[in-house]
Amino acid sequence: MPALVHSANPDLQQFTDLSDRELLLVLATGDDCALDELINRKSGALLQLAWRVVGDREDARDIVQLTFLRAWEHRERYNADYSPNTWLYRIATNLGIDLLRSRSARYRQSEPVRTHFVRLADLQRSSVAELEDREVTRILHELSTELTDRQRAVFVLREVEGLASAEVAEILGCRASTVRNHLFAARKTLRRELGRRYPEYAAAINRSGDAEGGGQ
Amino acid sequence: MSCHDWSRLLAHRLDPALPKPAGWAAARAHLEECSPCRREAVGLDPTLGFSNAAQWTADAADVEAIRLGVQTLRRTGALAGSGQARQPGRHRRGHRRLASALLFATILALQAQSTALTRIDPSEFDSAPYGSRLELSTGPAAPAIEGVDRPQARVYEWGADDLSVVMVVDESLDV
Repeated sequence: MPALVHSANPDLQQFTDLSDRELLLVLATGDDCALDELINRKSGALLQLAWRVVGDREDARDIVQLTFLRAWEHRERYNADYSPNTWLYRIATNLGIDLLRSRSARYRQSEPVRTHFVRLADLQRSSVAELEDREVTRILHELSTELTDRQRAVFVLREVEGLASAEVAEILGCRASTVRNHLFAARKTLRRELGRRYPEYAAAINRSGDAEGGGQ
Repeated sequence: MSCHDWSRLLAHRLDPALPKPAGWAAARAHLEECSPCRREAVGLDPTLGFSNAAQWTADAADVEAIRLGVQTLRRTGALAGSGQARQPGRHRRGHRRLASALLFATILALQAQSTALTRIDPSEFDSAPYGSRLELSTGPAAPAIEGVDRPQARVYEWGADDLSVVMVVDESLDV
């Protein structure tokens, strides 16, 4: 993520030294430049999170824009006791869940077509290593349609983003035990669907593990 | 990290009733660095492979697009009021009713005025004293409409004696 090293606007320049928490406190006063700096700092992480939750880049962009807008509109509600990331992740995740709920039926119907075009696009512009990563991501997005919206959000936040259960609970506004229950259910569904739709995926992993197993 | 260690750790992932074992944090950190262990772990629990999902590395263009999008949303007030106008799935029925009511009221108003929308050529505004801006009134705080000089802009005006409504339509704008 490019960092701001110079700006003709001195108001924008002065925010680069602030911590995230301090920045949100300035934002709460209604400072436009603080919003600009927040967008600079957090767009990357939020885009990735939103993309992993909803599985579509354009939708992810919309969600991130709405996240910043929502943060601006509710800037006075920010409580400095909470982590800035948790606050923003919470807004973005809730928007993502809302989007998934609204499009679930329509999206599932069109998924095979979408998948086909995404794969075509990837083949045209990606290196092999990148393609493998994208393939894993594509499979995750495809199988995730079998999860409930909450399960999907929990799995992405906990397993893909690597957040702690307590942090995920705070983002989703539920108990840590609820997060664990969603996580177990999500893993179970994903394992089942992975075995059903992509038996070669697990088999390939096992084969390569056997081939190199003697080295351990 | 041995097969036995992995079996102990993975048992908890597979069965939530089992107590959570210690050592997961270290094991996950180890997975990031050791490909043989990672392969073995993913072989036992394929969902671990999803932690390797591709990353979206946002560049300056992505950030700028977000910034412009936020500015546009703020300017157009897309979320004014409830803040949920673009949030899908909520109050949909209410929105439909409100939209129907507005449409009905608009039709009644148009019928009452018997005034048709008149298309205006955007080039007409080029010679205006305000250049690319169309002033709706002459007061010091008069609102201005930007973009009437855009190549694809279509400008409509609905005029009445005491009220004039101007609408600028540009399909190339994605707001």
